[in-house]
Amino acid sequence: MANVHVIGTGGYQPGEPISTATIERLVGPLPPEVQEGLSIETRYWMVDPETGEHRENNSDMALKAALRALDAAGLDAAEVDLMVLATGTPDYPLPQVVNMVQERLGLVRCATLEIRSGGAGVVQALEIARRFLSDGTYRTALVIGSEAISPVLVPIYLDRDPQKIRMRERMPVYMFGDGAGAMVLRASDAAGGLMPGAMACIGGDRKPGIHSVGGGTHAPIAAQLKAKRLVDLRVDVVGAADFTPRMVIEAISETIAASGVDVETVDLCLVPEGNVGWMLDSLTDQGLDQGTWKALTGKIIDSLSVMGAVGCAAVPLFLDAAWRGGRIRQGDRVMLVGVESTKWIYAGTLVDWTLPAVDR
Amino acid sequence: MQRIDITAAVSQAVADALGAELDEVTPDATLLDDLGAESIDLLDILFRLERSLKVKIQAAQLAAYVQGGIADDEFGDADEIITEKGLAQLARVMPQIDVADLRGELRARKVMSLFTVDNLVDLVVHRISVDADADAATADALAA
Repeated sequence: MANVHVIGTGGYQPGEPISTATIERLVGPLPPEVQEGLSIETRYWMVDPETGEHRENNSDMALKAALRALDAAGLDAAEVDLMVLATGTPDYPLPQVVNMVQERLGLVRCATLEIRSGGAGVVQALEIARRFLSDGTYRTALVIGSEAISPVLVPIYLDRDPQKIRMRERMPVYMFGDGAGAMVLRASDAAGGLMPGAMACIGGDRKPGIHSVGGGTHAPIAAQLKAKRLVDLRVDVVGAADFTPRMVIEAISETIAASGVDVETVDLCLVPEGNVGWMLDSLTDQGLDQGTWKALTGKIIDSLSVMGAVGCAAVPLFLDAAWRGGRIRQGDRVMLVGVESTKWIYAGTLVDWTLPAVDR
Repeated sequence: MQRIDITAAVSQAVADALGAELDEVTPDATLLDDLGAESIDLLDILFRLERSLKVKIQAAQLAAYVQGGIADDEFGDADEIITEKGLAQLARVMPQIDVADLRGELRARKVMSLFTVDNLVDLVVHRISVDADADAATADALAA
């Protein structure tokens, strides 16, 4: 069985950073302590926040991230024989975003998969790709996470008096953003690379923490068209703050168990939301800030505060920023954890990082 | 500020925070059961009141006001049933409740479901008066 290495990463976020002051003007204020808990200072949207006009699409962002990852790997797209893309906000229900990116990369034939597991998706994609590459089925994989949430945020405030917008509606507008990240994986005999990962959905008896309602097949189209908004993003912020930390802790423990290494050997741990105020408060309140979490003190990578909550894109995008910024170095043991609050899904994996520092 | 003005501001805050019509927000409507408020909406209501009336009430103060400073183990028994002492306190802040009906039945976690729009007006009136007393005391201290 071959080892599977990360040989390039790429990230892309659209437009200019949108400040919290701009969001406040559009949608109304939040109490300072709530804003502090969300810990998000800037986010990026592919739509114009003032008009809601699309400036690009999910597949455009995914393509840009993919090209940057291929460039970092020094590979031509033609060498990719497996593509796995994770998104919860595709351009269309069908065809898949992965095939639209495939087409634009000029790949007439390629094995492709698309995963819809939110923030856990890319880490699941890494495990799938690792297996296909390590057993020799494919040689080079392109794993992409992309998310386009802004189109469902705009109708919350466009042509409405901000005063009339409820706090529960305002909060997602402050939190979410768009972007894409990509990783190129390749099988080789060299030591290091990806280790076996862990994944589970632990919300089989729990109501969704996030429910994106509309545009599906759950109800007659005629009935859906009568709704106030075609797509309604319902976020149970209280439920998420309560259960997400427990999910993160289980993800870390199970990932350590799956890889068979000691948590003390982990140099860095990428967990989107791992450094935000509400998460840290909740970990402390629930007594979860011990054991494995304590062992990772000072090792958490999280770019949420400047990149926003970007669902499927978070893990590869934050990873790319950490590698390009010099935080992740060749020889580091890096844990990647993705969690998803819709139905409480986690996935984790470890990488012995073999990719040299980016050429500057 | 007159009670009628405070009532109008509270009704508006509740309606906006819950996406409800003003005429649904009657004085005797309970925030949780009748109007469907959840904890995030209570936070929203209090934040709106802070901005419109300049009165700051924290979510924890809302519960403390209802419990009236009675210790948890005196407010409810081992099974979380509200004690006689607790019921007497609840009747002070929620005069509409029927203590006889609730005796031996009411659990601590259900207390807030009895809290009405009018009870919230009372709380705001109380808070404004406490703040005014504190301001007066500060002014006296500075003058002395």
